[in-house]
Amino acid sequence: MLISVVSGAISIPISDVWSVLTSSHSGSPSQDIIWNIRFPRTIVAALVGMNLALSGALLQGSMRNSMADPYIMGVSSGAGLFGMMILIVFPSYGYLLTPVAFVGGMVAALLVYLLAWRNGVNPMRVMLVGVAVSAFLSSGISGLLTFYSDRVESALTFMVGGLSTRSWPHIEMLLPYTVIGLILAFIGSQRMNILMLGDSEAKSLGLRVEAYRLYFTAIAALLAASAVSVVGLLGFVGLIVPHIARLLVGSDYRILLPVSALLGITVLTLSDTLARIIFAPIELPVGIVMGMLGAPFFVYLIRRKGV
Amino acid sequence: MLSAKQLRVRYKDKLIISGLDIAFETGKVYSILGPNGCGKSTLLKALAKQLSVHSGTILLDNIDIQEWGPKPFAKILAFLRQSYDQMIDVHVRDLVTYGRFPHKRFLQQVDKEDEQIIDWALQLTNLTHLAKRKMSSLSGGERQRAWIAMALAQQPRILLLDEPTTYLDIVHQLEIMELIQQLNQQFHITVIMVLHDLNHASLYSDYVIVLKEGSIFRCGTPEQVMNEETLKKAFGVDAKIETDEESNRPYIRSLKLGSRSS
Repeated sequence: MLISVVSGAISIPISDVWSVLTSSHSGSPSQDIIWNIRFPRTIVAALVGMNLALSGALLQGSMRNSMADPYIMGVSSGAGLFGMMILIVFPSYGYLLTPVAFVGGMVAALLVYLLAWRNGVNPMRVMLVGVAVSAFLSSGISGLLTFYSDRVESALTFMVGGLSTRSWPHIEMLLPYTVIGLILAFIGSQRMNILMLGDSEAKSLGLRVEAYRLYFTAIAALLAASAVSVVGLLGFVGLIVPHIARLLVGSDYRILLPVSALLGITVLTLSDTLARIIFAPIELPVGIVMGMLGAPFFVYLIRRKGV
Repeated sequence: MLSAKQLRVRYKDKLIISGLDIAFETGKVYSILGPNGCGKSTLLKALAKQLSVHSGTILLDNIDIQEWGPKPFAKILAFLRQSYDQMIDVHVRDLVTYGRFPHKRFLQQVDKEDEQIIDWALQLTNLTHLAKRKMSSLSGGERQRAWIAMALAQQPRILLLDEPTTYLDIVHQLEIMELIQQLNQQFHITVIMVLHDLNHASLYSDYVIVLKEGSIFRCGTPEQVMNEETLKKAFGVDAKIETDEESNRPYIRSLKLGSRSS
């Protein structure tokens, strides 16, 4: 995180960062950059990374499927479609982007859950319905991009996920969901362990399987929707980070959840820092860095573990 | 105690259990036998509250099992589904600890008494030395014993087992059967299990229930039920049955496919 604050198009010595954070006198340009751009941006990256990683870990557990991630639940394509509508069709309401995208993500997740419901929810059915709903919503996004091809540029950063110009208001938007999601997830971690044994086993131990699957899915959707609505369709954090965490510490959710959260913070702040310094002064959207690094690394993990 | 009245269970559009009445006595071992598709597993799952019942009632201590809360129910009755090689990434002791879940309130931690019960379950299933191993590193028989240990940590009065010995070699099969017998005799746990091996059923159970096409075909002691006629009519096989001298139980000496015409 320190690296993330220090580096960027304009380098600032670490000593300056320290003096800005500790002293209150204002005026220097460094202070402005640190306090209003770098510092909040780093916090946004950390919160988003944590939310996506936790969301992925919760979904992989409650669906008992290692391919589950916030994107398969339709959260991203829902948030994407609603966000695109604001950006492309109603650009004058641009300030509504975050809340509208959040609503879109939640609506899509709810839709997936309802469509998959038949005397309870079968994880496989949720995943399949999720893929279908995501495809449906994505074609909506493509449709928008085709009809309004002259306005595509403004939407591009949102499509790949980027952290530029993310600042204090976004932190205020993210923080409540992060805190609530974090607490609810940790409270439920032992129940998640039992859910992971299998529906029949969990039921036999007296766990309300359907209720807790809904509980974890809802937390995951909240976390993912809040993250996606702020930074756009940022891929791979939610899928890969929980996998890395599982390789490191095993699948006991009492340990896996905090480790996933910390790894999510690390991965995203690091990626965003890279995104800013690789081609400085030009900034890459963090989503591109994540995809370029994340996808090959994921393939490497799969091949090594032979899953 | 556990009983079912006019039980009907559907799976999709098919009636699997069609009007079945049974009452299980406390402290006995029951084996449910029958050809594939007769509804053995379905009956067991319905008794374990794993399936919704189409009509009829299942009573536990004279209360409909639908009215039991999940945790109180799990304190009395434990169910293990058919053993299959599910690779779970859990340490044996952690798995057995999950058996204490129904006894714990929300966020309540495992205490000394729980630890003692966990130790007891591990010891009984002869897993103490493997407690720190991962489930995925155990053999099939050891894994099955670990699941049983988890069920024991629930301290149930009734244990339902769906084919507990399937996929195990003969030594491990006998180990499991001996363990079940010990649980019943020493700790008076009522055992209701689905078995495939007719001789195991005869040797280790107090009562044998033979299902055919979703209802009870025969029910009684092994001596009453395990005879040539039952096997012929329920399974369509010709059997030669003797009495085992050591246990005085019926013992199937040979089996062959019955002629279809009869």
